[in-house]
Amino acid sequence: MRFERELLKGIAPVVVLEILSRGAMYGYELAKAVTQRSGDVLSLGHGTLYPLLYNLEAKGLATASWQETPGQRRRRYYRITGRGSEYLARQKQQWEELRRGVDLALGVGGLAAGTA
Amino acid sequence: MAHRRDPRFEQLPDMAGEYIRSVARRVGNALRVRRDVVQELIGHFTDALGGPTDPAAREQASRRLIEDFGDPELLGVLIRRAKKRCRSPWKKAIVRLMQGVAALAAMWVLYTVYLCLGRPRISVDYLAVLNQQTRPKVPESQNAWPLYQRAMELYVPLGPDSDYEIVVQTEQDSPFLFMQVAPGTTELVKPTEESPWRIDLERMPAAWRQRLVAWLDANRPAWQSFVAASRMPYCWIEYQAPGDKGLLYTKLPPLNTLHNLTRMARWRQARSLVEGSSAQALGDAATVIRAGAHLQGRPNIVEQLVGLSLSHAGHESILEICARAPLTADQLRDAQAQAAAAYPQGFMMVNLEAEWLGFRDVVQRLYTDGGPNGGHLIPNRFVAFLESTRTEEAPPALRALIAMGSPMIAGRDETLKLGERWYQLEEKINALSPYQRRQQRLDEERVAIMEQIVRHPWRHPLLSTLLPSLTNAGKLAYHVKATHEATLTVLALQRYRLEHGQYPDGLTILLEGGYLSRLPMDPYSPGPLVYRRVDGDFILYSLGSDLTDNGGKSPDEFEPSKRREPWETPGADRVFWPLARPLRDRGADAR
Repeated sequence: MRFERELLKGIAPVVVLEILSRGAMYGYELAKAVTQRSGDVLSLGHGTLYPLLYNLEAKGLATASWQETPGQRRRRYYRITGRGSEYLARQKQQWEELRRGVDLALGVGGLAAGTA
Repeated sequence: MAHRRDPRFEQLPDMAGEYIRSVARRVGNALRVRRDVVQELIGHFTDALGGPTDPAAREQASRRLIEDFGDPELLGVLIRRAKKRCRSPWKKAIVRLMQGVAALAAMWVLYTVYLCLGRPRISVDYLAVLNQQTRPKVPESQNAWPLYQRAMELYVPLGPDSDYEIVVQTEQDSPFLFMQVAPGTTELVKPTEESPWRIDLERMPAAWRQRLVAWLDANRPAWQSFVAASRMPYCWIEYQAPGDKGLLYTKLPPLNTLHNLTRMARWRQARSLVEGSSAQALGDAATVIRAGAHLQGRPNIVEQLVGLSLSHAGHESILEICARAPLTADQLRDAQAQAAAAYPQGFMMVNLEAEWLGFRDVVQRLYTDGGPNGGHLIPNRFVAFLESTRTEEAPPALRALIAMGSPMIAGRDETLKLGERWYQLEEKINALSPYQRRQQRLDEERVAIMEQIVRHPWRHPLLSTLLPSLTNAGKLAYHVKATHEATLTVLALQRYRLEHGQYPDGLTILLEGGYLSRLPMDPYSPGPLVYRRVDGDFILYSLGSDLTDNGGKSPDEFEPSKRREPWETPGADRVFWPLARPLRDRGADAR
C-alpha cells in the first residue's frame, strides 16, 4: 500500500529509532527490518535511508561506528543513544494519543466519536 | 577516491559503480566523510545484489536498486547536508569562518581589480606652473644660465676622464688635489688626518705645478664665462621632463661641472696668492659666492643645496685669503661689498615650493580623480613609479602585495591633506634657526606626522616613499648663512683694525662705525656670534649644536676620533676666526 508521502515523512525517524532501540543495525539491514517489522506496510526508500540516518546522527539521536565481525566485511552499525531513547518515548506517546484521537474521530476500534 | 581502491567496487555492475561515483561527487565534505559514505553505499549495493550471480540478473537488480535510491545528485546533496549537520560545533564555526574569509577575499580581489582599472586625470601641468612661477619677467638677455652652460661646455677637466684620475698618472705617493694615491698603486684613497689632502701650490713638485698652471690657463675661457654669468642679475632655467612624465622626472642641469669650476676657483685663488694678486683671489671667491646665490634662488632643492655648497666654498675662500695675505682697506671693503651684494634681499633660505608642486603632480598621476575619498591610488601606476625611482623592476611579490594591499591605502584627499601638512611644517621648520627649532619643538610635530605614516606604511605608501627629510636642508642653509655673516664680520673687523690699529671691544662698535650693517646671528643661540679680542687677534665663533659656549674651543683641538663635523662636535664651538691650522701643516707634522 502506498501512503501519502507527507504522512510518512514524520513517522520514518520514529520507526527507525524504534527498530534501533532493539539492537544495532547497518543500513541495508535496517531498510529490510523496517519492511519486515511493519508487516510489509511500510517501506523505507533507499534514497531516504542514508540521509535519514545521517540526520539522526547529527541530532544526536543515533550514533554510528564501523565494526568488523569475523568472517564478515566491515559495516557501519547504527545505535540509538540515550537522547534518542527519550525522543522515541516522547514520539511514541504522541503517536499513541494521536492514534486514539483519530480512532475516535473515525469511529475505528469500537470507539465512535461522541460515545467516549 | 577510496572506492577505486575497494575491491568490492570491481565486483559491482558498471551502472552501480557509476551511480555511486555520481553520488560521491555531490557529497563534497572532507575526504574521510566521502570515503565513509562511498563505503556504506558499496556495502549496501553488495548486500542488496548478493543473491544472483547471473550478470544480467545483477544488472536488473542494480537498475531497480538505483531507481529506488533515486536521482544521484539529489541523494548526494541530501547526504552532504546531513553530513554537514553532523559536524561538531567548533568545526561548523571553522567552516563558516573560512567561508567568510573566502567571501571577503573574493570581494577584496574584485575590489583590487577595480582599483587597478582606474585611470588618472592629469588636469594641471605643474611643470608649466613651476616654469611660469620661476621665470622672472625680464628679457632673456638678463639670464645668467646660458653663460653658465657655456662655461660648463668650455670647462677642460684636469685628467683624461675626471678631475681625480690625473692622480693615478703620478709616480709619487704624495697627495694631489683632494684625493691621495696609495703608494705604489693607482688606487685612490680617502684623505685622512695624517695625510694632507689640500696641497699648497708652493710645496707642490714643479712638474705638478706646471701641469696645474697649464690646466688653469686652459680653463681661462670657461672661467671668464663663469664670471660673466655670476654678474648677471637673474638666473633661470626652463625645466623639462622627458615625455609626459611630470615634474618629478625633471632633468636637472649637470651641476657637477659647476662644482668642478668651484674647485678650480680654489686653485686659481692659490695661484693668485702665490703671484701676489690678492685682489684677483678675492674676485674669484666673490664669483663663486654669486654663482652660489644664483643656484640658491632656484626652485629645485637639489640646485639650492648645490648653491649653498658653492656659497660656502666662496666664503671660506675669502676667510682663507684674509688669513694668508695682507689686504688693503679697499680690498677688504670691496670684498665685503661683493659678498653682501650677492644677497641683495638678505641671505636666501631653503624654498620647498617646487617639492610641493612635484608632490601634487605625482598625486594627480597616481590617483584617480573623484569618487570616494577624492580618488584612489592606482596600484600598477604606483609600482611603475616605484620602479622609476629605484631604476629596477619591482619583484612580482612586491607587485602582488601592493595590488592586494591597495584597498587599505589612503584616498587622494587624505594623502594630499597629510602631504600639505607635512610640507607646510617643513617650510615652517626650515625658516627657523636650529636654536629656534629646538625652542618651538616643531620637530615633535614632525615626528608625530612621520609616526602616523611609518606606523601605517600600507596606508600611506606614497608619502612614505616621497616625503624626504628636508629639515637638514634648512639647518645647512643656516650654517652657510652664519658663514656668510661671519665672513662679512671678519672683513669688517679687518677694516676696523687697519683704521684704528686694533680690533674693537665689541661688534656693536662695527655697527656704529658703519663697518657692518647688522650683527652676525648665531644659529645656535638667540644672540649674535661670540666675539672676543684675544692677544692682538680676535676669536669669532658660534656655540654649535651643543648650544654651549665652550670658550671658542675648536674641533681641531680634539683627538681625531672625537671630531665630528665642525658644527656638531660636542664640547667644541664652530670657530670662524682664527682659521683652523691648515690640514697641510698638520699633515706635514705627521710626515
